[in-house]
Amino acid sequence: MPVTLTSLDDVKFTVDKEVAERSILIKNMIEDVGESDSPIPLPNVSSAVLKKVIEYCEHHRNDPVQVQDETDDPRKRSNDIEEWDMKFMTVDQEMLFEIILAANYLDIKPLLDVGCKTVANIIKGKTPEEIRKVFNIVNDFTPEEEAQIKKENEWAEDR
Amino acid sequence: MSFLTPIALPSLPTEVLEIILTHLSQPDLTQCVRVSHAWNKALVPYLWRTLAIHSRHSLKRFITNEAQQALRRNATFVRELHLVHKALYDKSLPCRKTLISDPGVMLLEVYTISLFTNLRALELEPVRLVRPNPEFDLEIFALVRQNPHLRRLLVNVKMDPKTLINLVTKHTPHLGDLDLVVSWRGDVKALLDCLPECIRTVRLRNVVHDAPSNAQGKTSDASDASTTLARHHHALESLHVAGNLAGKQEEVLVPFLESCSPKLKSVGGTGGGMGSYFFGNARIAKILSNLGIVCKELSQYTLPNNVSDADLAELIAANSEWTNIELYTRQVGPQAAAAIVECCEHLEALDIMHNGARGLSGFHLQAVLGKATKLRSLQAHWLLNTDKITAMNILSSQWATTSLEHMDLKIEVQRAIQASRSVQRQVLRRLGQQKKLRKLVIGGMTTDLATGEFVHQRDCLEMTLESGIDELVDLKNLEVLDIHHMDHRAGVPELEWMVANLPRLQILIGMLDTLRPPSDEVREWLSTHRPSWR
Repeated sequence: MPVTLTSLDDVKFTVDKEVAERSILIKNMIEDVGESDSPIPLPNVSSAVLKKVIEYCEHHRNDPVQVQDETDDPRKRSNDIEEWDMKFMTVDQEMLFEIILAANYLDIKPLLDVGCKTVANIIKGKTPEEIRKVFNIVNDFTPEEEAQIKKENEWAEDR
Repeated sequence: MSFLTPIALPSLPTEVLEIILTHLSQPDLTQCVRVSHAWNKALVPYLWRTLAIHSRHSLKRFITNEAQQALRRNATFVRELHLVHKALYDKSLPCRKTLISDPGVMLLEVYTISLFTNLRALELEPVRLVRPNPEFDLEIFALVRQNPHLRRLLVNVKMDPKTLINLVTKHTPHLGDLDLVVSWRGDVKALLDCLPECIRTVRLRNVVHDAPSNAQGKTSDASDASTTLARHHHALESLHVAGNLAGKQEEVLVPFLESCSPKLKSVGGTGGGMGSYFFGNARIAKILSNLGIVCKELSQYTLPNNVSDADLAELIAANSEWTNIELYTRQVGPQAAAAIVECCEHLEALDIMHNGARGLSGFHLQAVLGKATKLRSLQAHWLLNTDKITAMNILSSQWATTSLEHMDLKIEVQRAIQASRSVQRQVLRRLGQQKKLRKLVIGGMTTDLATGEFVHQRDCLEMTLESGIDELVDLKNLEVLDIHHMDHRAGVPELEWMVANLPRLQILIGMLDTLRPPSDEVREWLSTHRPSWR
């Protein structure tokens, strides 16, 4: 049973219902609307991003639905991203963040988790200068300010 | 999503940022807060969530001017505080005077760590054991009082009993986890009974119950009237109590356990040699069983000192899922013996080693062997001085298990009868069927019934090739064979057989302490071939 999704820039994507329903938001919208042919508008997601999101959902269409676990260990491991997902997430940064925001909006928890883990993995182990380089961030601290901040938080550096 | 400005990490929605942050450690965050003003503003609150300074190295960096000023700005973000160094507390955490006036606490001026009011978790640990210091108690008291959202409390500093009870019962309404590490002497019943209803885990690692004795059922204070209202500890998932309950575990634990719900999944508390209070008491074990908690291991350490046969039987019968029964030195009377047989279906290990079991006979062991399909270990070394396990017991019914790895018991086989060798062969064949056997002990002294002296076993297996030792050919995993103080007749041919057929046999005991002195042949063989065997 196909479902049509319309992106921010009016591009239409037709996908199987099963694929679309990996998004809890879309799933709920379908349930509310009932059997209908009208396309589902997604004004917050551009076509480029929606294409990637659909690609993810197609690949993971048969995954078991994750159960919301309130008592998850907050210190989750970052190293268990499967290979396909890792390749999928090899995109430029802007797209990476767009995917994360789209996954958040569309309520696709596994995609959100993978995206966040990917960002965390980029940050881990890097010095401030290396982080700036990777994210194209301008350093708006004076050297004195940065030294001050370092001293303020040094106690937390070793674990 | 705008096309123009690049998306920056700090401007992500909070819920998304927090997911990213769960994968970053505190050291990672120290680098992040130096990246830019925007990153700093967004991430400092998360960096300062946990203040846990464990090393001198970190402490040195914490008592700098910069860090102390940052502390004043950021203390409001601290959710979890580990007070490890008293030096830390004394020198570097800003204090203010406060007045404590609380029923049960004297009116007193104390210094408290004034900055922290948002704590969800507090861990109090001394680097060295600190002598009880009432003022320190009250400072902690004040600290807890100003943090009403406290959910987790770990106490490893000596504290006055009353102060502690007031602390955890009156001033921490949201307390979910209590971990009392330090040795604490006080009214354990009062402590448990007054814990907040939302408590999830309780761990009392070394408590000594010390309460004024009450008349039955009455509470001693009028002011405690509120505590007699039934509290339902419906959220409790885990309860561990270890220490010395002065024999009063029923009085202390039963009302508390009766207030729990089936959410309770884990109980226990071995440690300090005092054992668990939960499964050594039939009444408590029954309550737990009703909650779905079944103990699988019965050990002598979980039993009170002088448990009667009937009590032991009741305890064993309260639970039919025992996997381990290890009574080693305890008396097992006829009722308890019958209970063991009744409940042995899941039994994996039975250990009734020591002399003194009266009432547990070879017939009981025969029944266990016939029922316990998972039995891996059967140890009854001294048990059968009077009631031996006989060849008949061994042979009369099929053994339910094929997984025995360890057997230790004496087997009586009549030697004077004509069919003796045939019977011996059959017995050895039975043993030989336990292909996983690693340790086989059939040696050991027995008691002369007439004189009461320790003597060699005489009516025992000969352990010769003619009498069936070759039936053990399948015991390829056998590592230990013990035939000491038995009147066996094993000699060099048998030793040769063992070397050829029992490749893993490392320890053989019993060639040198036979009833008659060993032959020169045997001595010489041993010294040239297997010096470690004796």
